[in-house]
Amino acid sequence: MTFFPVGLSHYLCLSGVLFTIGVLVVILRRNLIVIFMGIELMLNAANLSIVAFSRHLEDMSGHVFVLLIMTVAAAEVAVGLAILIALFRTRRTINADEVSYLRW
Amino acid sequence: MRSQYIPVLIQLALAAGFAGSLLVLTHLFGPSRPAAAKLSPFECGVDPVDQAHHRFSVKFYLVAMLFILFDIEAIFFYPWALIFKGAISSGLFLLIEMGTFALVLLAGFFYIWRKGVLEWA
Amino acid sequence: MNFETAVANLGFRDLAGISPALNLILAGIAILALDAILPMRSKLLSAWIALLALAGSLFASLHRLAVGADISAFNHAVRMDPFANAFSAIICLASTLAVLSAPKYLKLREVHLAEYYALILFSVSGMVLFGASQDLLMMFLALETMSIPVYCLVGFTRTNVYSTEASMKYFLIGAFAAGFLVYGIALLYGAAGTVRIEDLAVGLDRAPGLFYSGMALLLVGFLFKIGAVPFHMWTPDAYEGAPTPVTTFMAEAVKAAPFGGMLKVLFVGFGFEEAMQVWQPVLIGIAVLTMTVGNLIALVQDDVKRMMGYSSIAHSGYILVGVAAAAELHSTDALAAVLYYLFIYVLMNAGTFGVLILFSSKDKDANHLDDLVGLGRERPWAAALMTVFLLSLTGIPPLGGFFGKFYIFSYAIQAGMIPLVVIAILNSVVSAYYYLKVIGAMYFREPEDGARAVFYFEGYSVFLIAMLWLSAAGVVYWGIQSETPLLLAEQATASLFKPAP
Repeated sequence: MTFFPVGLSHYLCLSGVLFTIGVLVVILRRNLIVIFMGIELMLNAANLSIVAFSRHLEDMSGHVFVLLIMTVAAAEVAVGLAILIALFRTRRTINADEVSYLRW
Repeated sequence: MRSQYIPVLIQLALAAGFAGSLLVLTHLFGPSRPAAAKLSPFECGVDPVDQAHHRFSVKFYLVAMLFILFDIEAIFFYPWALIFKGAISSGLFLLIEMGTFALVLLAGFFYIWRKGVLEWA
Repeated sequence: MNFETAVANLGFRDLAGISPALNLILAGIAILALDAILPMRSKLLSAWIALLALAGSLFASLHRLAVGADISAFNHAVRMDPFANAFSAIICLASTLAVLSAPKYLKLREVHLAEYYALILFSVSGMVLFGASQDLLMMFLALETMSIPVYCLVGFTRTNVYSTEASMKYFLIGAFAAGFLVYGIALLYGAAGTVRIEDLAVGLDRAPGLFYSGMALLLVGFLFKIGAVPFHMWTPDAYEGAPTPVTTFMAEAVKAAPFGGMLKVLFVGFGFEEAMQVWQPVLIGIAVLTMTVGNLIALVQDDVKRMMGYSSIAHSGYILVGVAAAAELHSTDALAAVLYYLFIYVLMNAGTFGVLILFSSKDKDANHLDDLVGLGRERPWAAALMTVFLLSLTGIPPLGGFFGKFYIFSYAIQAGMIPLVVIAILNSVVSAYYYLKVIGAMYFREPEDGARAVFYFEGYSVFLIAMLWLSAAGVVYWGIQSETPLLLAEQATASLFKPAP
């Protein structure tokens, strides 16, 4: 058994896996809160690869990107939760399949 | 490379072994006197009134949302503070920029305050 | 460049550089503060503040466009070149029309709140910066600044089930698209070692795999935003469910703005031979799909708002034809045709939705085809205006919509894309059917029960009337006089490839 030094490719693989899980959660799960979490996972996967690249390239600006993306994600999720509450008040459900008055 | 990690492994094994053996030992040798009070969630004397799986008031969400926003915005003060000393030549502009940022946050705070969001009732 | 020099470069001239956007943000904050201090009186005053701010930004952008100003700000993160100014002008015009359409409808629905105008202004500030971004991160921030307020606006009538549902769907898909976009940015950053759009090309040699995957993800993000097939599902739902003034805003400003950043990334970022061979065929395929699917589904719609949603998808397809032609020809003049198309598209969409708002009453929107039956006899002027907008959307000369399509298609023919143009023209013919269906309902159908249809101007609004006449005048005048805006647009797109000052 050997220990590998953890390098750029490991971070990228992890980030790729996280991103895929996020996408799958958004596509497959029906609970809107869980779907939000999937979206957050996608953004955080991107953050992880940005930090990894930033370290690999020895370019500090990557760190700043992550801060900004985190802030935007927070704003987005706050708005999302607010919409969710409004939706729940009119519909009494947060199941994505039941939210389907608008079609065709 | 490998040898660096061996102490960590030993540490892990020790910790897991210690915790595991304590569990086993108390189970084997400890006295066992079951009582109703021991099964309640809080052993502080207050009877739990109800289950914890209630629907929370939506106000908690509101407060959580606002907290997330204002909390995350504070993150920008940190890199600014780190840079400020090194870039003192354009210090006035930086100070005004951060002041503006704080003012915008304050405007948001003022807005939610006046809108009565912070009143719990 | 290290942080110290970057910081030392900052100054008040950077703020002056982005003044058209800054002006909107300040006005938005002022509206919120005013609403917090004087909640009773702030409504109409907010509308006026918003209009003034938008007019200010519109004239500032037009002035800069006219003198050919080219300003870089914030260490080249933002560049207000003629290209950005042209987009800024189109968007400010679109938003002015959207704000004009709002007070009547919101008052009838009892949601006439100052927040509406603040949200519009914040969103527009993001749009202005979107076309001006010189690096991908700035572009992402601008895109979110533009999108997040629109999520709220779609759900603005928050007790209405359709509105909240549309808002939720739009939010989910928008956030999903943002996820792809950010991941694309992350990969491109890794490939190129920078997020400056001009320098992205480096990534193609350094790490082609990363570069192409990043480019694909970024493109998916943009295609979501412009509502291209197969990423279009949100458009009809959001258009139908949103309050009509918000639909107006979405159909013009939110529609036009993403093209600014997209063109910049496609042409400045990837606009070199090798990558173009990859993205251009993809874009042609998507253009064909988008036109065809949009038009075919629009045929079977009875709800005018929903039909306009599908129509807006189809129009994205026409615009993508122009983008593909510009890529083939290596010509910024062909891109100018795209800009002109967007400008006219804004006007004719604003007008169409404006007429729907005109006859929306307290309890009911006049969105259905049946709601418009007999309009031609009862309200000849409104019906005439609607006819102008619909004919322009179909592409009948001498209206603006015709010239928009004409320029785009003739550049595509120059580029030798004959099959694509044939498909596009066939699509225009198909689209004539559903636009004319609305005109038919207004003029040639009788109410089924034989009673006279009644159309009240409930909640008469001078703003709305002004908006309708302005849009109609624009569609007619800038159609006949299409050279002037086209010339401006050509100056604007020419700046796209000039190095930043």
